[in-house]
Amino acid sequence: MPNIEENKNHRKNNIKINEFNAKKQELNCGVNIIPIITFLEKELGKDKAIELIESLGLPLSFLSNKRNWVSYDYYSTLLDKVVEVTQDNRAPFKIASVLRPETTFNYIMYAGYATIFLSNPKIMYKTMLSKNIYQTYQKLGEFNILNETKNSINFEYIIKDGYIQKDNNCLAIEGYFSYGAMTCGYPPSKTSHEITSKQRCVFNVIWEKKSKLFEAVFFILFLIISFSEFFLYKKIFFIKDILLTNFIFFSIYFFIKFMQFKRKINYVEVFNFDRNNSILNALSKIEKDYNDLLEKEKKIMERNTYLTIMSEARKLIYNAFYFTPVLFNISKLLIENLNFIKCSYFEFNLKKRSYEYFFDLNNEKITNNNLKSFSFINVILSNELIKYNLNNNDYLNISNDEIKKFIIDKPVNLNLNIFDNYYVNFLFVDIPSSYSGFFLFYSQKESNFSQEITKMLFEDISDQLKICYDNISNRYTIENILSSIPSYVIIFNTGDFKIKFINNLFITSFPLIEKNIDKIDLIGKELFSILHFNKDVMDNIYDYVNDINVKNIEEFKSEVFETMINNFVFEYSFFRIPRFKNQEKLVGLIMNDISEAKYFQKNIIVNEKLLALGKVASGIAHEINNPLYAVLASAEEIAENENIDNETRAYAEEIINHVISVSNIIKDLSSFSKTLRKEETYEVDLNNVIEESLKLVKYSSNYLEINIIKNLVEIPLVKTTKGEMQQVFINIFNNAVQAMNGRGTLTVQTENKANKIIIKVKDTGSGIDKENLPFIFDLYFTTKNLEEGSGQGLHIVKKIITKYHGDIKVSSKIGKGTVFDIIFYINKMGEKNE
Amino acid sequence: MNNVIKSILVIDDDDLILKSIKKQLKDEKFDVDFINDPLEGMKMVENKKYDLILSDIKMKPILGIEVLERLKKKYPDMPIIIITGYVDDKLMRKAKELGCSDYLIKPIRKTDLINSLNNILKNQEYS
Repeated sequence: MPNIEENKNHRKNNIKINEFNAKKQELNCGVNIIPIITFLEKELGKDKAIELIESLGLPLSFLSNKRNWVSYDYYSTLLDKVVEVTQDNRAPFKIASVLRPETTFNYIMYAGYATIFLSNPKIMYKTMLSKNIYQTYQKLGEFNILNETKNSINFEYIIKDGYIQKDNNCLAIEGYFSYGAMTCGYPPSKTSHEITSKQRCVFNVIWEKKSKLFEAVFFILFLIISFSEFFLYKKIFFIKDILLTNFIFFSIYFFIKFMQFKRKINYVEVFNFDRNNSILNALSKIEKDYNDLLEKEKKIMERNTYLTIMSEARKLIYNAFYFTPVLFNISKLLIENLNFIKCSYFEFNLKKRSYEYFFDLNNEKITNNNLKSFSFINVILSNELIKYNLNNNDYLNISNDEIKKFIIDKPVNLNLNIFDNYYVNFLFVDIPSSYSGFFLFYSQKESNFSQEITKMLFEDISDQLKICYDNISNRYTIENILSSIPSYVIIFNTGDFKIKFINNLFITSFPLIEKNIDKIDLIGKELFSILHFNKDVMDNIYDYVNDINVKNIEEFKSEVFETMINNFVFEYSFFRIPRFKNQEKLVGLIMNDISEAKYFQKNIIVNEKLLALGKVASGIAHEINNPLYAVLASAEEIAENENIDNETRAYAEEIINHVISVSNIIKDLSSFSKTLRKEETYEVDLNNVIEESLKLVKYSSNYLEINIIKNLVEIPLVKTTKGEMQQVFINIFNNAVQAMNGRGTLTVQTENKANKIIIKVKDTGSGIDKENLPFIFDLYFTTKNLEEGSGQGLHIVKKIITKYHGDIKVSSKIGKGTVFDIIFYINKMGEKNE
Repeated sequence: MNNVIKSILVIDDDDLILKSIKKQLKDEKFDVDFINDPLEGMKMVENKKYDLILSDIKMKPILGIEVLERLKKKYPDMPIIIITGYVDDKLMRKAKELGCSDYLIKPIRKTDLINSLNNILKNQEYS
């Protein structure tokens, strides 16, 4: 997970930076703590003092070198510790009392010098507050004199950014100022402080008036010098000269001392400057290295992000079935990983010849109302080359050619100001001659992802999207081809038998499949959990899969199997799917419903037989009719002969009748066999067909005593073939005769209703079971013995009737009989339904 | 015109049929010629003006339907009746298309034959 990794890195970096800053502060703007050490040694004894000081981490050897300073944090922690150990809140104040003699002497000289000329410690305080003298504190902050009187001074100490005024520190400063007066021969000053803000502390220092004795001493010293000069060099110098000498003497003395002091301070300053400089240089080098490291780390991070995004993108692209979800997911991916605020997608509309706004996606983490409500109204996208005014409500008015030019000129890296604070990155999806669109990604100005890598990433994703589009369109084509095959096609994995592909025909009409199931639900499921094949099919599937693992391609023979599923006959075979490298092994199963073909195959045989019979019948008809004609003509002649008796005439007439009946049988037989041939449709009188069919049914072997009631009204001619209609009625009448076991009443009735002809065929037979009623028109459905029927009769009746857009309905009662209603719609008859 | 004796030609390669028709028509006032060879029959039509022709379908060497076709081409007004032993709707339709005046299926009752002949001849008169 890239994000966690990234966070870890980030945290690690933060820690490093903190350590680094701490070190820098410690060395750069420290405080000398030797007075504190001395104070603690005096108060607690040497051992305890060392133990306490070293408990804070730095060794005494480092701290007792006055050139080594510590950080302000370290210093204030130490002060707190001093207060805690000595249990004296004023301890920081007292630290100044252990000022080293050398330092004290410096102050005395200054103070003396100041006192001589101004007889006031004010000048000393001012000197202390000036930059050079009180450098320890000047490193950390700035002293400003707020106001001053004859015997008081009011000043503030403002500490630099990054530090905070601490009470103990202020107390220590107070101590120095209090004891400072003593070095001028005054009693300690009365001091107080008040921290007024985080960084500001105000100090008030009040000193007493100059001591009379101190003044007297200096006055006597002054007199001694003056008098001795006067008495020793009386004749040489005037009083004026004596004063001058005094002045020169003191001046020279203090100047020398001042210069000494000054040099010392300069020395320290210069030394510190050099030392600090070298440290700073070293630090800046470390800092530079560190920054380089960060830069490298950032690059590695970017690279990682790039790789993560690309691998995610590839996953999305290679698993894609449709293009639009890919676009969604890609924009989501980029928004999440690159901290874009929003993304908009535009697609080229071929009809409108313009880019059309397609969708928006917001980064939910960064909600920005301003951008949420943003739409493409009055927005100008511009760079040096092009200016596009996007002020058409939802569309970008950029023509395809223009945008193409735009793509060529500046591929992806276009940072265009939309609002004051947002940048736009373009990602183009351009599939030559078929698709064009682009993403707009909005980001804030500061992106932790460099433009260079963004550009690279966007170009790569753009390429990947092209591949994606091609893949989808290829897959779509292949799927379309497979789906359009008018056979049942299913492809599955040979290892786990999971379905990889199933075509539409399979889903919509395979008898073993659940109705209304979704294609997506089927893919990935186990083959046999969905299709409960017969054992023979399962065995063949297992055999084939086994063979695949053993045999070579050359040894494979395509074998065609046949099976029966739910009264349907299926023919099926397997096909191998060549695979690429280590792709999964797939096998296809292709099935065809050959029930019809099987039926027709049988039917053709039957028809052929009948046709052959028909031919013979016709021949016989011809051969029989000719002699019959002779018999008839002769019998007629006898019957008409006036010279014969009545008995003979009656015989002749009987002969005539029998001749006619024989000839009728032959006519019917030969006419039926001929109608089996392929015929053109023409206007057929159904009543006629019914009559003829009834005649033929009479010749059937199980026709015993059937009372036929014909109720035929005049009906319009229908456009069909006589043969097919004969097939319909003969089948239905035969069924009726069989149902009645040869005895009963068969009622045939024709009706002529508005636009439709209804033929009712009613028998008084055994009836059909309610359970069986829905199946009687199915192929090979039969309740009869094999000898009696094949189960094809009613199927072909239904088939012929639907061919002419007709309907057949059945109702039945067990023990009472069955009624078939055959309905033809006159206005539909013309069109054949094939 | 009623009294004029109509001449009829019967073509059939089966003498039995010719004989039967002869029997059925012997009492009628028709001038009937019989011929058992269709090619010969066609020649006879050229030589003598017949009012009606009766022809079988299945004959040798040419079929009745061809006879019908050829005669109708030459004498479009000539009524021709087809007599046949075949019950074949297709053939019947074809014959009707070619212009046969009636299509009779053997064996033919005497009354049927005479009615048919009279009807056609009467129609011919009026036309």
